[in-house]
Amino acid sequence: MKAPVCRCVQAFIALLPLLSACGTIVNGTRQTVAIRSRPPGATALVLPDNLTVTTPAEVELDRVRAHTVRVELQGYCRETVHIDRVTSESTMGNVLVGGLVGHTIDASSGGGWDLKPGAVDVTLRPADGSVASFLECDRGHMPSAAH
Amino acid sequence: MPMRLWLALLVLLPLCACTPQMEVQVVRYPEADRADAEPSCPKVIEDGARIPSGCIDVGDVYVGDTGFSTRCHRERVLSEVHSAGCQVRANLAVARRITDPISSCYQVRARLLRCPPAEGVVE
Repeated sequence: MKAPVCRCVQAFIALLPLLSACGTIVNGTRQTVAIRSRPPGATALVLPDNLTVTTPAEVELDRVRAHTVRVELQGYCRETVHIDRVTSESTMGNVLVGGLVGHTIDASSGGGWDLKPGAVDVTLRPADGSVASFLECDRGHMPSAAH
Repeated sequence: MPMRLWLALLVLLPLCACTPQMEVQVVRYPEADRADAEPSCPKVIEDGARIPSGCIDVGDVYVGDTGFSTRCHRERVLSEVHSAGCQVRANLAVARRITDPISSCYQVRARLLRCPPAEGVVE
């Protein structure tokens, strides 16, 4: 017959992952990101998720990866916004509780990351007559008319 | 289960996810699949340089810390950007450094562009 203390240690080890990941507990694995445009009614394509919404909208994105949002409206220049993944401050809690196990879980679940910017807010500029709509035409980056 | 096995599991579990590599995430835009695009690899420049006219965005790449990355110095990261650019036949990559005060890795997000062959890049 095994000692009760031994069973307690086993149970503790088995449950440790559930208790230790500070970022996952605090943040969850997904983040709500608002997508707004001026004028509203634009189509926003979120990559690599292949999620299409009409602005204004809120989308739930995985924290575990970075995202790209392409906002398009007929007659306006397309705007692309990159949502990057940066380390969340909540993962610092793993220094006190969680340790390597907590850090591993946070890193793989996405809870250890924050998506920045947390909201996409773009002002679309009218495309002039020399370029087709839906094209990016910013910062000396005029697309060729053939495209 | 023997106690030793439980302890081994405890040690091995975190190590399973430990990779010194960077997280490389390439997004390919629909424009990347234009039939007239010739295979090419990009010249990598850092943000602040002037982008020539006539370029189109064909994708982007995120190169970031996995939480366990160790091989993540600037040259290594920019080399990943270069490789990603080859995948989408970009000939110019514009890398912007991502500010992450907690990570010590050099992390970037880069636009992958396809520019007309005659256009030079003015740094």
